[in-house]
Amino acid sequence: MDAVIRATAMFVIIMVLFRVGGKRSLSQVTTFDFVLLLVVGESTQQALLGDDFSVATAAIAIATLLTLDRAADLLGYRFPSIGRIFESTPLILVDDGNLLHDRMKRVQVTDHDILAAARELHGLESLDQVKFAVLEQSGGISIIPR
Amino acid sequence: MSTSPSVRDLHAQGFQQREWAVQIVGRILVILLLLAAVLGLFGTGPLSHVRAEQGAVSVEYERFVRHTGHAQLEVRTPPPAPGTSSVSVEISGGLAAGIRMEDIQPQPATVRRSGTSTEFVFAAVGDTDALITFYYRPMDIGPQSGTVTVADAAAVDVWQLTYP
Repeated sequence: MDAVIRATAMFVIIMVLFRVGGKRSLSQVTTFDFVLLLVVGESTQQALLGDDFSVATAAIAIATLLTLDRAADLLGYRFPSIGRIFESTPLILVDDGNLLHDRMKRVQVTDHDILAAARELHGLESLDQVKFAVLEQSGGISIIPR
Repeated sequence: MSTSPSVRDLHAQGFQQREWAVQIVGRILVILLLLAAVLGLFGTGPLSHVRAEQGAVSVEYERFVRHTGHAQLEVRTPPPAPGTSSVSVEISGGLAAGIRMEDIQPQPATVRRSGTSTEFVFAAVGDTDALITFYYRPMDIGPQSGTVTVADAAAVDVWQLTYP
C-alpha cells in the first residue's frame, strides 16, 4: 500500500508543479532542460521507492503511475473540462496573420520561434505567409499557411 | 451549416485566462514554499533548530524532520556528581518509539529499554560537560513528543514533526 500512496502523491505533486510552471514551446527546451529532467527523475525515484529496491515495489510504483496517467487520459476524454485542467488547451498565437503579442509574452514565444516552425513545417519564408499559429498542448507550434 | 471543429474555436479563452490566474497564484505559493524551506520549515534552518534547556542540561534538535531522513539530537550534560562513574540519558515517549537509532556518540555502556522509554548509560569521563549525540531516522509520520532526562535532572520536553 505504501508504494501506491507514494506513487500517487508523486504523480499529483509532479502534475501540479508542471502545470503551475506553465506551457513552454518545444523550441524553448534546451539541453539544460533535459539534464534538469533527469535530475527531477532521480529525485522522484528516491521518494517513490525509499530504501526498498525490490522488483515488486518498482513494479507497483510503475503500475500505479501508468494507471494514473491512463486514468487522467480517460477522464480528459470523457470530460473535456477535466482534460483541460490536466493538459491545458491549445493557444492561438497568430490569428489571421496578426501576431497576438500579449499571449506570446505570456508563454514566452517569440516571432522567431513561430517563423522557425513555419520554415520547418511548411518551408515558409516570412510571417506574412502565416495565417494561424497555435501553441499546442504538446509544446509544438503548428502553422496554418495563408 | 457545418459544425466541424475549427482552429477559430480555440479563441474561447475563458479557460486560458483562468489557467493563467491559477498559475500566478501557484507560482507565488511555490516561491513561498521554497522560502519556508530555506527558513527551515521542512528541515534544517532557523525555524527548525531548537535548543531546549532545563537547568544544566540542554538538548538541541531539529523541530521539523522527514520520514526516514537523517536526524540528530544533541544532549549536553553537566559533569557527573562526585563519586559517580556514569551518566544516564533517558529518551521517552513517542520520540523513543518512532525512531530508528543509527548511531550514538560516544557509545553507551549499556542500553535498557522499558515500555516506551530507552535509557542509555554512558561512562563518565573526567569532570567536564559531556556532549552526547544521537543519530537516528524518524520512522513514524506526524507529530512526536517525548522527554529527554539526564540522570536525576528535570526532563527536557522534545517535540518534533515528521513529514512524509
